[in-house]
Formats: sequence, structure tokens, C-alpha cells
Amino acid sequence: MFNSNSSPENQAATNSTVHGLSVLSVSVGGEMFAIDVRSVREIHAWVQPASFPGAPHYLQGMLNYCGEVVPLVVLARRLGLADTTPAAPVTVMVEREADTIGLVVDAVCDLHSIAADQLSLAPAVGAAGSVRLLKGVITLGDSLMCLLDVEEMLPPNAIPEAATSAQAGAAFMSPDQSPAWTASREARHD
Amino acid sequence: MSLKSLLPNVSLKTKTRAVFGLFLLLFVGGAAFAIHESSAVTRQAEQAKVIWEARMIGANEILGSAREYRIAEALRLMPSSPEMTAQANDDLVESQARMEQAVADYKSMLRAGEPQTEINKTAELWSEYVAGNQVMLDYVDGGEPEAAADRFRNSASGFYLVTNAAGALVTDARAQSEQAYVESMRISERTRMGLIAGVIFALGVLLIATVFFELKVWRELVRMSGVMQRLARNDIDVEVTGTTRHDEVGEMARAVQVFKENALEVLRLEAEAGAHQTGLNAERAENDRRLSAESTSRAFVVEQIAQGLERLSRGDLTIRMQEGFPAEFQKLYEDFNLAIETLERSFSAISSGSSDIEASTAEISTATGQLARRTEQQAASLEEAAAAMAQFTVTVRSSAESANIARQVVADAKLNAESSGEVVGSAVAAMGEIEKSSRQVSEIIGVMDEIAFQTNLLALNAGVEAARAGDAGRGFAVVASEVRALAQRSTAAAREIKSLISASSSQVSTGVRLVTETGGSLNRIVSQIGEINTAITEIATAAEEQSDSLMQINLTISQMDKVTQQNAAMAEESTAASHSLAREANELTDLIAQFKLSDSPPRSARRTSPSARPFVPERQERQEPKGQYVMRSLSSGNAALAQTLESVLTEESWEEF
Repeated sequence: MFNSNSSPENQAATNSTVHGLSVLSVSVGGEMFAIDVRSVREIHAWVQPASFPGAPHYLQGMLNYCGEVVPLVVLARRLGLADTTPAAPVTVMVEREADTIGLVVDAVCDLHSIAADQLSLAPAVGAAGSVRLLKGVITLGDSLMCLLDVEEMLPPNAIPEAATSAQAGAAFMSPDQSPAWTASREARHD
Repeated sequence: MSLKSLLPNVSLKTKTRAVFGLFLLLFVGGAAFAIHESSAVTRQAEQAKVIWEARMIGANEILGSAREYRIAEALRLMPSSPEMTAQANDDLVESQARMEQAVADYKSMLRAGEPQTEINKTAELWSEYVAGNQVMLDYVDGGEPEAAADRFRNSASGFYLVTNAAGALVTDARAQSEQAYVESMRISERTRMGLIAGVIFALGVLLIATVFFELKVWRELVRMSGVMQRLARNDIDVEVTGTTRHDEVGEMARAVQVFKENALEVLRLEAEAGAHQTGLNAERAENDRRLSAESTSRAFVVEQIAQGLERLSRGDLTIRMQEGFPAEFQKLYEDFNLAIETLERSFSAISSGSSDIEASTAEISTATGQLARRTEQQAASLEEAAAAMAQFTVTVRSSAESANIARQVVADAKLNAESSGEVVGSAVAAMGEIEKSSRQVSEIIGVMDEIAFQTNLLALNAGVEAARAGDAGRGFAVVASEVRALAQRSTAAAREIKSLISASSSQVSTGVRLVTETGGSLNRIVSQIGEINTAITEIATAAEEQSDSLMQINLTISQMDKVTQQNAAMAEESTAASHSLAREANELTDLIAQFKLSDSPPRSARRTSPSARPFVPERQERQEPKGQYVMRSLSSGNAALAQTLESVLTEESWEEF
């Protein structure tokens, strides 16, 4: 079942195994998750963000990060885990294809070099959405660790209507400095 | 005399003082009178000399000046040399000035309130005269000598008016001077007459006083002296006069009268004594006659009494007077016999009494001997008691000293405990300091933890960078992982330190609590030590009081000991005295036995009675066992003692029986 599911992601993972995959393990809600190191831009100490009115509950607010406006996603809420809200959470700045977002985690644990045989696809059970959050599962000794798909952490349609129009207004006022996570990934790409 | 009728009851002293007082008054009055009169004379003479003479001179000056002026005018009238004319002019001016000066001087000589009419009139006349004659001088100067001469002649009447007025002033002054002289003469005469009268009066008073004293005092005193001389020569018949007088002479006369009466009384008593002596002589002769009549019967009586007394002197009390005494000696006969009988009865009683005394003295000797021994034992016991008490006193005193030492020790302990309290306080403070330091260390550790966290983040970032760099960043990744490991170790160490610090903080709080509790305990200990101190002080005080009381007891016991010793000595003396008493009683019995009595038992029979035998050896032989018995029974108290005494007495009386 694990191996039968062949997807482009899996292929990509296999490719990356060849090159040697490095992941950053983070602790969220008492569980370990892995983030691909290539998408990690910086690990940042907790900074109180500005609020984001009308945002979904896992979007805690936004930060000014090196001149960019970066949305903060509370990973525990996004993954539907218990919101433990630790004393000193850490933000992992993640580079996506089109933009940069911040993932709020309880703690950053370690860097791991993952061999190709350690990585497998996530089992396709339950709703399709939940599977989409994971790129794969890493076996680390006896335990398992989910490799998060950073592109899915803040889907493009997550921002409600009002927020989008506000973003449009902002783009109207200053098109050059419009936020990086706007709905049209293709347009940005072009 | 008239004085006597005037002053009958006044003493000589008063009279003398009155006479002298009168003289004093006369003298003072005369002196005052003379002083007053002489000052009046002086005043009059002064007036005559000073006032009136000066005025006379002043008036003469006025007169002289007027005349000089007139002469100068005459010279001016006469035609002569110009030098003469000038001289005459000068004289006119000069005499005019002298006149004004003289008038002013005279006015100044007048007394205040005296009328100035005379001098003013003179000055006025002079002014008129001078004014009139100025016309004459004008005629002379104008070359009309005839008219001037007429004028000069006509002015003669005015000139004489002036000179007459001035002459009147002179005459008046002279008259006044004369009057003052006459007045002073009159006063002098009055003074002389007054003084003469005073002297005559004083001489009269002196004469009267002399006559009075001559008649009333000296004559009486001379007479009194004669009376006293005659009295001194025992001339009783002399008459004492002047006893009715009320002054000192009268007192003297009354005293002399008393002397005279005393002498008369002495004479009367001597006469009475002589009469009594003659009566006594007659009585004695009568007695002599009666005695010679009685001598014969008395010879018999004397014979009888001599015989009786002779037998009585041999100790025979059985004698009695025989019948045949004269009636007048019957009483003597009866009395003699009665006396001998009484004597015999008394001797019989004495004889039996002395026997009883012998027996009693023997008993007393024994009893006093016992008493002396027991008193000695008592003294010994008291000495032992005193020694024990002294030892006890020493013990109590040493316990008092121990209590004092204990009090000192407790006070030291209290001091130590109090200083320990201070130590506890500083320990609490030190603990607080430690707590503060721990807090600071905690803060520092927090900083270090933060640094380690940041370092960890940095190392992770470095690791991420190295991983992203692929093979090129492999070496860097190793370094980053080393740094991460170091950061994690520092974090762990910081956590460990933090936990240790918190543990030590809690331990410090526990220590503070314990130390505080220790302080509380120390305070309680201090207060308890104070109570202990109080208790020990009370013990010490009580011990000292006990010591004092024991001293008192000791003193009392030693006094008792002394008294007991004295008792013992006295008991010994009593024993000796009773022995000598027994001896004396024995001798008395012997003496009585020498007398011959009507019903006396033979003396040898009583000599062998047991009470008469000497008992000193008897006491010696009984002493040993009885002493032991007494020692044994001492412990059983007074009852035993009494019993002992009783048994001793019964024993003794048994032996006596």
C-alpha cells in the first residue's frame, strides 16, 4: 500500500534521496515533524506578530521579516493538534516557491541527514486534505516523523474574501511592494 | 523743817538727786541766758560799727563832693590863667562824678525795705543845683562875668539846701550809731544783773541743801553710830530714835532696833536656864537619899543574881531564883526565872532543830552533788550541740556561697544566650544575603540560558545553511553541530544550576526559619535563665538568712553553755556549802549539848545516828553506775531524766534509811 502509491511527490523524494536529503526536526504538540532544509530560510526566535483580522484560526498574524511582510502559521493549529502554546515558541522561516511564511513551532530539535530508504510516502487514509499536508514519512530508528509539505501549510485560498480585497487594495496603492502570498501564484511567477 | 512737812515720805536718794538736778537746771539756764545776751550785744555792736559808721562816711563823702564842686565853680568864676580854668573844669567834672558815685554807694548801703526818701531828696536837690549853675558857666564862657557872679551868689541857697540835706544824713547815721551803742550797753547791764541774780539764787539753794543735809542726815547718822557702838558694848538700855522715819536712816534705825530686841531676848533666855539648873540639883539630892535606903535589900538581890548567873555561865539552865526577894525586886525575881525557863525551852528546841538540820543538810549535800554532775553532763551535751551547730552553719554558708556561684554562672549563661540571640540575628541576615545572591545568580543563569538558546538557534541556522550548501557545507555543518552541542550543554548546565539554586533558596528559607526558631528558643532560654537566676538568688538569700539564724542559734547555745557552766560551778559551790553546813550543824549540836537541860537526852546517843556520818565517800562509790544510767536515759528525753532523778532520790533515801 505504501509503495503502490506513486505520485510526482514521491518521485521527487526519490530524486532528492539521491542527492542526500537533510531535514530539520521540530516539536509541535509533543510530536516531531520534519521540514526539508532546502526550504528553511532561517530559524527565528519568537517575536510577537501584528494581528491579521479575518484570517483563519491557524494564521496568527504577520511579521516584518527583512523588509517582507510574512504571515505566521501556528503549526499545531494547522495540523489539528493540541495547542500547547509553550513559553518560548520558535518561528521557522520557510521559503516557498512564491513566497516566505513563518511556521510557529514549540521547539526546533535537530538536523537529520536522511537516506533514501528512510523516506516513504504517507499512507492515503481519511480525507484527502490531510494527506496533502505531508510529503512523506521518515523512519528514524523505531519512531516515525512526518515530512511536512510547506506549500500546503498556507494554501492560496486560505485568505477569506475581505482579506483578499484588502490585499488587492494594498496592491493598488503600491504594486511593487505587494505581499508575496497573493492568490495568483502564476502571475507572480510570470 | 518746812521741807520735812513738804516731803515726808521721800528717800534720801531722791532728795539728793533733786538737789543736784536743781543745780544742773540752774547752770544750764544761766549758760543759755548768758549766751543769748552776749550774742545780742554782739549784734548791736556790729550794727553800730558796720552799718551806721559806713553810712556816716558815705554821707560825709556826699557833703565833701558838693563842697568841692562849689569851690571849683568859684575858681571858674575868677578870671585867671587858662591852665587854672582847665584845672577848674576838670575839678567840676571829677567832683560831679564823685558825687554820683557817693550817692550810688549810699543807696547800696541801705537795707532792703528801708525808705530812700532822704538820699533821693539830696540827689534831687543836687541835680537842680547843677542844672541851675550850668547857666552860670555859660555866662562865664560868654564873657559876662557880672551876670555869672550874680548867678553864683543866687545859687548859694540851693547849695546850702544840698549840704544841709547831706549833713542831715550824717547826723542821722551818727545818732543811729549812738543808739546802737546805748542799746548794747543796756543789754550788757541786763546780762550782768541776770547772772548776779542767778548766782545768788544758786548760793541760796546750796545753803538750804547743806543745812538740810546737816540737820536731817548727818546728825541722824552720827546719833545712829553712837547707838550702834553702845549696842556693840551690850548696853541694852540705849534708846533707838528715828524708827518712824521713811528714808534710809529710818530703815537703819529699825534694823538697830531689831538688834537691840535680839540682845534683850538672849538675856531673858540665859536667866531662864539658870532657874532650871537649880531645880535639877534639888531633885538629885532626893534621889541620893532614896538610893542609900534601898542599898541593903539590893545586896541580897545582887547575891542571888550573882549565884544564878554564875551557874548559868557554866551552862546550867536548870537554875531558878529562890523565894525571899524584897517586894520591889519581886518583878526581877519572876522575870529572871521566866527568862531562864524560856532560855531552856529555846535551847531544847534548838537542840532538836539542829538534829533535824544535820539530817536535812545531808540530803541537800547529796542532791547538790547530783545536780552538779548532771549540770556538767548538760554542759558537755551543749558543747556537742554547739559544735554540731557550728558545722551546720559552715555547711549552710558554703551552700549559700555555692548558690552565689550558681547565680554568677547563670548570669554568664544568660549573657551567652543573649549574645547567641545576636548571632542568630546575624545568621538570619546572612541567610537573607545568601537568598539575594541566589536570586542574582538565578538571573545570571537566566541570561546564560537565553544566550545558550540564542546560540542553539544560531547553530541550527548555521546547520541549516550548511545543509543547504550540500557537500560544500559539510565541514561547516560539523562545526555548527559542535556549537549546538555546546549550546545545549550550557542550557542543560544552566537548568541544572537553576534547579540547584532554587533548591538552595528553599533550603536557605528553611535555614532562616530554623534560625528564627532557634532565636525564639534562645529568647525563651534567656527568660527561663532569668527565672532560674531569680530562684537561685532567692535560694542564696534564704541560705544567707539561714546562716544568720544559725549564727543566732549558735550564739544562744554558747550563752546557754556558759550559763550551764556557771550552773555547774554554782552546783559545786552548793555542794561544798552544804558540806560545810553539815559540819556547822554538827558543831552546833555539840555546842548545844554542852548546856544542861532538864529533860535533855544523853549526847553520845545522837552522835551515832546515820545522818551524821560523812557522806562524801558514799557519793563517790555511787557515782559510776548512776552516771551510766543517766547517759543511757538521756536519749529518752525529759521524762526519762525525771525518772532517773526520782530513782536516784529513792535510792539515796533508801540507803539513808
